[in-house]
Amino acid sequence: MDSSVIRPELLTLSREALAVLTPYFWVLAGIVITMLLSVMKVMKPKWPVFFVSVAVCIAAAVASAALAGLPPVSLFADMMISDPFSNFFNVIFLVAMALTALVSLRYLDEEKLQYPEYYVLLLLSTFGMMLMASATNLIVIFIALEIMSLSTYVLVGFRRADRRSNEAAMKYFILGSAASAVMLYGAALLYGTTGSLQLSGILNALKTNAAVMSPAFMLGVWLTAIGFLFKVAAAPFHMWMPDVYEGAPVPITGFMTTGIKAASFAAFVRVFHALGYGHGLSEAIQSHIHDILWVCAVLTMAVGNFVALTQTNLKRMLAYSSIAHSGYLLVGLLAAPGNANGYGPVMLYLAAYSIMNLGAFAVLSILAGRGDSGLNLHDLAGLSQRRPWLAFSLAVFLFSMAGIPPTAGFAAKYLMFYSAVQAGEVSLVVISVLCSAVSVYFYLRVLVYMYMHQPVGAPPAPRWSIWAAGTVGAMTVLTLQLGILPSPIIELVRRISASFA
Amino acid sequence: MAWFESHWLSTITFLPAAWAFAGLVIPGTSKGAIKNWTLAGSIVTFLVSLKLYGAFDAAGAEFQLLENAEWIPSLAITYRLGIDGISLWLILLTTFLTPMVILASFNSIESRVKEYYFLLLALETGMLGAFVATDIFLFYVFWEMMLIPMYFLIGIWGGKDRIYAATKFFLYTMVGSLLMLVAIFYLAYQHKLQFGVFSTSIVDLYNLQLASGGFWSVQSLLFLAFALAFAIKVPLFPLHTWLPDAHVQAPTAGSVILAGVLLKMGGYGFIRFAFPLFPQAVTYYQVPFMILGTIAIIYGAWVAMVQPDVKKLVAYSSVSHMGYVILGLFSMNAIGATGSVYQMLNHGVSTGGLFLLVGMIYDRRHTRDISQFGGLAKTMPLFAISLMIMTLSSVALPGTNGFIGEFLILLGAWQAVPGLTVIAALGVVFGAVYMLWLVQRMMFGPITRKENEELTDMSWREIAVMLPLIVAVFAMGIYPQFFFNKMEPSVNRFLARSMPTAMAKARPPTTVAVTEH
Amino acid sequence: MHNDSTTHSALIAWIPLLPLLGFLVNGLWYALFQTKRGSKKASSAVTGVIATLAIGGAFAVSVMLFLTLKAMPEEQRALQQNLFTWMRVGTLQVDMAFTLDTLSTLFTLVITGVGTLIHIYSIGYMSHDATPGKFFAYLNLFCFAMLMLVLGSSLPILFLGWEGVGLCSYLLIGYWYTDMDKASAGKKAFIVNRIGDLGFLLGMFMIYTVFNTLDFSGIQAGMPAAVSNPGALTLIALLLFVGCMGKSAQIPLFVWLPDAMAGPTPVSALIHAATMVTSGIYMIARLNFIYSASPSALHVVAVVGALTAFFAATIAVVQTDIKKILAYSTVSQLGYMFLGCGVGAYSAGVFHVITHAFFKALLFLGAGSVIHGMHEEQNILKMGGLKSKMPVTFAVFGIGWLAICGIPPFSGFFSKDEILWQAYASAHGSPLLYGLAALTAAMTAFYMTRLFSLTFLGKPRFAEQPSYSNVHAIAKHGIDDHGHGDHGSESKKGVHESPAVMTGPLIALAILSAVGGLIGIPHASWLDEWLKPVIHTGHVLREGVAPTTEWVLMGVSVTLAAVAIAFAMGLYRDLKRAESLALKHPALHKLLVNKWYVDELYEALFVKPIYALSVGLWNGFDIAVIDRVVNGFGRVSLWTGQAARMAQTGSIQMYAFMILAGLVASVGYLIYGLV
Repeated sequence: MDSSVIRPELLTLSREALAVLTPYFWVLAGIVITMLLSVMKVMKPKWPVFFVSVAVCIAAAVASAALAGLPPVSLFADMMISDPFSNFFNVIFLVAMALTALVSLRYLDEEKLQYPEYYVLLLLSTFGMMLMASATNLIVIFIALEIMSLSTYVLVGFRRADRRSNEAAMKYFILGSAASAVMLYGAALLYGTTGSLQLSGILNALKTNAAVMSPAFMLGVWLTAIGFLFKVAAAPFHMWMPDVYEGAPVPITGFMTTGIKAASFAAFVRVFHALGYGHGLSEAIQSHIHDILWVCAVLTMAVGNFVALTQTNLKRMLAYSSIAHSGYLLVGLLAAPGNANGYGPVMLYLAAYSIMNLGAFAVLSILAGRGDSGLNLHDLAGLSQRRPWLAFSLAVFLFSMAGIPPTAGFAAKYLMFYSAVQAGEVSLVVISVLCSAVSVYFYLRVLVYMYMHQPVGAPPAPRWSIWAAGTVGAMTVLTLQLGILPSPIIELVRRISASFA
Repeated sequence: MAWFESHWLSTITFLPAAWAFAGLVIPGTSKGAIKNWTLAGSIVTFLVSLKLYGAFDAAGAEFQLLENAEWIPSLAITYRLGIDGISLWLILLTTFLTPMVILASFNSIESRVKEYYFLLLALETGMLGAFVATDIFLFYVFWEMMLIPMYFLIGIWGGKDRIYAATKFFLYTMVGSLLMLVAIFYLAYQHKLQFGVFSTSIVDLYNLQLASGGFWSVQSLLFLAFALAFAIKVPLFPLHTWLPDAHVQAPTAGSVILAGVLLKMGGYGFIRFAFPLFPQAVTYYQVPFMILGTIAIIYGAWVAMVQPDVKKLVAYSSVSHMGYVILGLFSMNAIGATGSVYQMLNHGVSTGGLFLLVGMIYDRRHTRDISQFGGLAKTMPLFAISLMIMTLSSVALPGTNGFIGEFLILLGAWQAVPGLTVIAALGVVFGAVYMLWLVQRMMFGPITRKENEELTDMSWREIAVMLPLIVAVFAMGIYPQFFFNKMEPSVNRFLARSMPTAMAKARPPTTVAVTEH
Repeated sequence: MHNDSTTHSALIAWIPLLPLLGFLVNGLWYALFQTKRGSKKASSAVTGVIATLAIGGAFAVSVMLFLTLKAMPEEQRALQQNLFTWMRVGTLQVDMAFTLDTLSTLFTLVITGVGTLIHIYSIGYMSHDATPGKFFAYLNLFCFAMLMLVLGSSLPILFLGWEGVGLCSYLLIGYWYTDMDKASAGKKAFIVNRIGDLGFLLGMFMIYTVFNTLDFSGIQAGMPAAVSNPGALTLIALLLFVGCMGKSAQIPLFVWLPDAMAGPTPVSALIHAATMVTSGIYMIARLNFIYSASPSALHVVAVVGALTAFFAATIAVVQTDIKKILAYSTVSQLGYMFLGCGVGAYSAGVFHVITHAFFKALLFLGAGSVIHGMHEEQNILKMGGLKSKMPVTFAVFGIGWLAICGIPPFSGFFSKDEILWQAYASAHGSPLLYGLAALTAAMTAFYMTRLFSLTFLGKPRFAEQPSYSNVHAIAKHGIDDHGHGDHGSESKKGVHESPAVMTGPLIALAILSAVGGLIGIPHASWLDEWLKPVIHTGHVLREGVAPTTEWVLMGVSVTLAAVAIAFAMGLYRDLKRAESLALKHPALHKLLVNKWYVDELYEALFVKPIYALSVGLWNGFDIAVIDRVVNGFGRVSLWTGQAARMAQTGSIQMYAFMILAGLVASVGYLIYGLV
C-alpha cells in the first residue's frame, strides 16, 4: 500500500480498537497520575503512588484477562496486534509489576529509597513490555524494547549510594545499547532483503519469493535474534547478567528475571515465527539457524547450571539459574514448530517461571539486610527453625525451579520436554535433563542450609510486611496448584499458541 | 461410603497424607500426642489396606480395583489406579512396616518431632501411590515425590555425614529417573504414532511395537533408560554405593523404609514397566543382567563380611539379597520370577527387622561399631533371640521366609543359566558366613566392656515392634502358598507379556515404521 | 493300601510334631520367664521331663507305626501323609508330606529311641546348668528336624530337616556361648555344612531339570526314562554326595566334627554320633536307585568313604582328649558306612548306622559320665584306674569298646564285617578297598583299646582332689557349665560314679550294643529282608569270588582286631614306653597330633585369601573406584563451573569482547555454511 498519503481513518480508532486497548490505557493513565502525584507537593507521595500503580496494574491485568478470549484485532495499520498471545503476556507483566510493587514497599523504606519515581519507572518499563508482546513491526518492537530497557537501566541503578548498583546500571546500559544496535542492524538487513518491516510483510515476501532467502537475509535474521538472545541472557551473550542482577535491588532483580525475560521471549517468538522458522525458510537456512540455536541452548544451560554450582550468594545463584532457565526456554523455542503444542510450552514455562521466581525474590527481599546483605547461604542456616513458613515457601520455589513434582516448575518442564521429544529433539532433551540434574544440586544446597544446619549468629531481622508476606503465600499456593492441576493452563497455552500460529 | 467402595486405592494411598495434615493442628510441643496420632494413622491405614486382600480376585482381570480420572487430558495423562497380585503384596508390605517404624522411633527421635512424623506419613503416601499407579506418568510423579520426604528424613535426623548421604541419595536417584522421564515421553509419542493418540496408561503402552535388535535399537535404548533408574533403586552392582551411605546415616525408620520398601521400587519397576514394555530388549540383556545380579550377590556378601559397622554390614547384605531379585527376574521363568517377588517381601521383613534391631542397640550404646559389643546374649537374651531369628531368615534357613525366595530364585536361574547359578549359589555360603560371624561377635563370647554389662533387654514396646516381623518370618516360611495363590497368576501374566515370542502374537502388527536410531 | 493303615498314616505327623511341641513349650517358657535378669532358674528335672515326654511319645508312635508296617504285606509297606501344599509354583509342586516306609521307620526308631535315652541322661548331666529349658528346647528341636529329614517324602522337606539339624547342632555346639572357642566351633560347623548343602541344593536343581519333580516317588518313577542319561545321573549323585560330605563329615569337609565336641556331651552323643551325621547315609540309601545307576559315582563314594575311615583313624591314634578320640572314630566309622553304600551294600551301610548309633552313643555317654566324674577332665593321660571308681561306667564302656572293635558277638562285629565282606566281594568292591578297610579296623581296635586302658585300667594318674587345671576349667565355664554349680561339696567326694539317671540309659544302650547285631546275621539278615521294598539291589558278587571266602575274611578281621587289642593292651600298660614309641617317629607323630594340618591348610587356602580379597574389594573398588567416579562427576561439574566463572571478571571490556566473539563466530558459521 502507499503510505505517503495520510489516510484519516488511520488517525481515528474504532470502538473495537479502543476496547482492546484498555489495558494499555490503564497503564498510561497510571504513569501520568503517578508522575503528577510525585511532583505535586500536597501530600507525601508514597502511599498514593503505591496504590495507584498497584491499582492500575490490577485493572489492566483484569482487562487483559478479559480480552484474552477474543479473536485477534490488528491496530494502527498492523503496527501492533491485540491477540490472546499478547494478552496472556500482558497479564504476566502486569502481575509481575504489581507484585514487585507490593514487595518493594517495605524494602524501599528500609533501604531509604522510598521515591515515587521508582513506581513510575516500573510502570513505564511494564508498558514497554506490553508493547513488545503486541508489536508486529520491527520498528515498534525496537521502540518498545528501548522503553522497557531504558527504565530498567535506571531501576537497576536505583540505589544511588551503592557503587555496585551504579556499576551494574552502567554495564547494563552500555552492553544493552550495543545489543540494540546489533538488532537494529539486523532489522535493517531484513528490510533491505524483504522490503518490509511488517512481520506479516516479511513472511509474505518469504512465502511468495524464494529469492528473498539470501545470505544477507539470513544475516538479518540472525542479528535480530542476537538482540533478543542478549536480552534473555543466552550464552554467550549472558555475561552482563550476573553483575546486573547482583547490583540491582532485590525486587528489581525479581522483576527483571520475570518481566524482561518474558517480554523478550514474547517478542522473540513473534519475530521468530514471522521470519518463517519452521515454516517457509529454505532447508539450508532453517537447518543452520536451528543448529546455531541448538548450540546456543546447550551452552546456556551448561553455563547457567555449572556456574550456579559455585555460587554461595543466593541472589547471584538465582541469576545464573535464570540463565539456565533461558536455556530450557530456547529448547522450547527450537522445538516449537515441530510439535503439536507449538509455542505453548514456552508460554507455560514463562508463566510458571515468573510465578516461582517472583515468589523466591519476594522471600529474598524479606530476608535481605541493609544493602542486600545477608543473602549468603550461611545466613540461611537454620531458617526452618526461625521462620518455618518462609523456609517452606522458599523450599517449594526451589523444588519448582529444580523441576521436582508436584510443582509448577515440573509441569512446565515436562510439557516442554514432552513437546521437544515429539519434535525429535531427543538428544537435546537428554542434555537438558542432565543439566537439570546438575541444577538439583545447588537448589538442594539451599535446603541443606535452611533445614539441616543449626542457626549461626544473629541474621538481620526479616522485613515483614503484609504485602510481601501475602505475595509469598499466593505464589506458593500457585506454584503447588499449577503443579498438581496443570491441566487448565496447559489447555490455555495450547489454544493460544494454536490461534497465534 | 459408596465413594469409598469405588475408590479403595485412592483412599488407602492418600489416607496417610490426609492424616498427617490433620495432625498439623497438634502443637509441636505435645510430642506424645503427635506420636500416638501418627501411630494410629498408620495402623488404620494398615487395617484398611487389608481390605485389598479380600477385594483382589486372583482369577480376575490383570488390574483390579481400577480407578480412572482425567488429569491432564491434553497430554492424555490420566489418574489411573489399579493393583495386581504383585503390587497387592508390596502395598501390604508397606502398610505393614510403617506402623512398626513409627513405633520404633518413639524413643529415638526427640527433636522436631512434628516434622518427623509428618514426613513419615507423607512418605507412605508416596510409596503407596507408586505401587497403585497404572499410568506410567503418574507412577513417575509418585516415584519422584517419594524422594523429598526421604531426603529430609536422612538429612535432618541422620548421623554425622547425613548431608552428604542425603544429597548423594537424591542425586543418584534423580539422574536415573530423569532419563526414564525422557523415555516415558518417547513412549507416549510412539503410542501417538502407532495408534493415533497419546497415552501414558501402561495397558495401552504394552501394545507398542518397538524396533529391536542390537544396542542402538529403540527398544534397547529405552530399556536402558528405564533399567538405569530401576537398577539404581534396587540397587544393582555397580550402582549401589549410595546405599551404604544412605542406610548408615539414616535414622532407623529411614533405613527400614529404605530397605523395606524403596528398594522394592526398583524390582517393581522392572516387573511393571521395563519387562513388559521391552520384551526383546529384555531377552537381549538377560544374561548381562543375570551376571550383574550374580556379582551383586557375591560382592555384596564379601564386602558385608568385612564391615566394622553393623549397619553398613546389613546395608551391604541388602545389596546381596537384591542381587537375588535381579537374578530371579531375569531368569524369565515362573519359578524364578515368583521367587524374586517373594524375595522382595522377605527382604522387607528380614532386613527391616535387622535394621530395627540395630536401631535398638544403637539407642542403648550410641555406637554401631561391632567391636564395641560382645557377649550381649547374656545381658539381652530376648534381643539375642530376635537377632538370631532375623539372621536365620536372612541366611535363608528352610522354614523361614528367606529360604522360599532363594530356593525358587536359584531353581529358576538354574533352568535359565546353570553355570551362573553355581556361582550365585555360593551366596548361600557367604551369607551364612557374614551373618553368623556378626551374631558371634555381637552376642557371644565373654562380655568385654563395662558398658555392655548393664544393658537392658528389649522393652515391651520393642517386643511389640519385633513380634509381628518374627511371626511373618515363620508364617511366610511355612505356608508361602497363602501368598502365591494371589501372586502367581499376575506373575505369569507379566511373564507372558515379557516373552518376545508370545508378544508377537499378542500384539497388533504395527503399520508405522519405527525410526531406528 | 492296608485298610486301617490310612488311620495310622494320620499319626505319622505326630512323630515330628511331638518334639516340636516340646520345643515350643520349653522354648516359650524359657523366653517368657527365664530371660528376665534375676529370674529363678528352671530345674532340669521339670524341663527335662517335658522334653523327654515329647520325644518318648514320638518313640511310642514310631513303635506303633513300625508294628503297623510289619503287619502289612511286604510290597505294600509304606504309609503316606500329606499335610498341605508347601509351594506350588509353575510346574514345581512341593507338599508338606511324609512317607513312612521300611527305611525311614528304622531311622525314626533309632532317632526317637536313642534320643529318649539321651534326653533322660541329660536330665542328670545338665542338672546344674543355668538354662536347662533352653537346652532341652534345642534338643527337642533337633529331634523334630531330624525326624522331618527322615520322614519327608520329597527332597525339599528332607532339606528342611537337613538344614534344621545343622542349625540345632550350631546352637548346641555353641551352647556355652560365653566361651568364644565354643561359639566359633558352632559357627564352623554351620558354615562347613552350608558348603555341603550348596552341593545338595544344586543336586536338587539338577534332579528337577532331569525328573521335573522333587518327590522321591516321582523320581523313582522317572528313573527308567532317566537312565538314558547317565551323565546327568552321575552329576546328581556326586552333587548330592557333596551334601553328605558336609553333613556326615567325610573328606574334605570333615573338619567341623572334631571341633563340634565343644558341645555338651549328650549333644555329641545324639547329634554327632547317633543321628545327624548319619543322614548322609540315609539320603544315599533313600536314593540308592540313582546311585546304583551310576557306577562311577558309587566308586567315588566308596573311595572317599574308605579314605576317610583310614585317615580319621590315623588321627585318632594319637589324640589325648577322650571326646576328640571318639569324634575321630565317628568320622572313621562314617567312612565305613559310605564304603558300604559305595560298594552297593546300602543295607550294610544302614545296618552299621544302627549298630553304630547304639555303641557310639554308649561310648560318648560313657565318656560323659567319666568327664562328669572327673570334674571336667577330658585328657585320658590324666585318667587311669577308673575301673574301681566308676564300676558301672567301666562295665558299659567295656561293652561299647568291644562292640566298636568288632569282637563277636557284639553288634559292631556284624555290621562292620558285612561292610568288609561287601567291600571285597561286591560287584563294586575290590581287594584294595577291603585292605584299607581291614587295616582301619585294626587301627580302630588299637586306638579304642588305648583309650579304654588309659582311662579305666592301670593306676590313677590324677590327684584325688580336683587339680588346679580342673578348678580352672570349672571357673571358666562358670554357671553355664553343665555340672558342678556346687563344686565345693562334690569335689570333696572326688572322682565318683554318676547318678542312676545317667547310668540307666548307659545300661540300656549297653544291652543294645551287645545284641543289636542280631538283626543282621549274615545269610539270615532280617534287615536285608526288611529293607527290600526300598533297596531292591540284592548283593551280587564280583565274579571269581567264592562265597566261602566270607568265612575266611571274617576270621581275618577278628584276628586283626584281637591282635591290635593285645598289642595296645601291652603297649599302654605303662605310658612311658608308649611315649618313647612316639618319640621314635617325631615327624609322623607331630603330623598326626596336628591332624595332618588340614585346618591350617583350609585357613591358608580359603579363609585368609577370601577375607583379604573382600577387604580389597571394599577399599579398593567400592570406595576407591565406584565412589570416586561418582563423586568425580560432582567434582568435575564444580571445576567446570569454576572455569566458566573465570570469564566473569566483572570487566565490561571482557563482556563486550565475549559478545563480539560469539557474534563473529556464529555469523562466521552461517556465512561459511551458506556461501
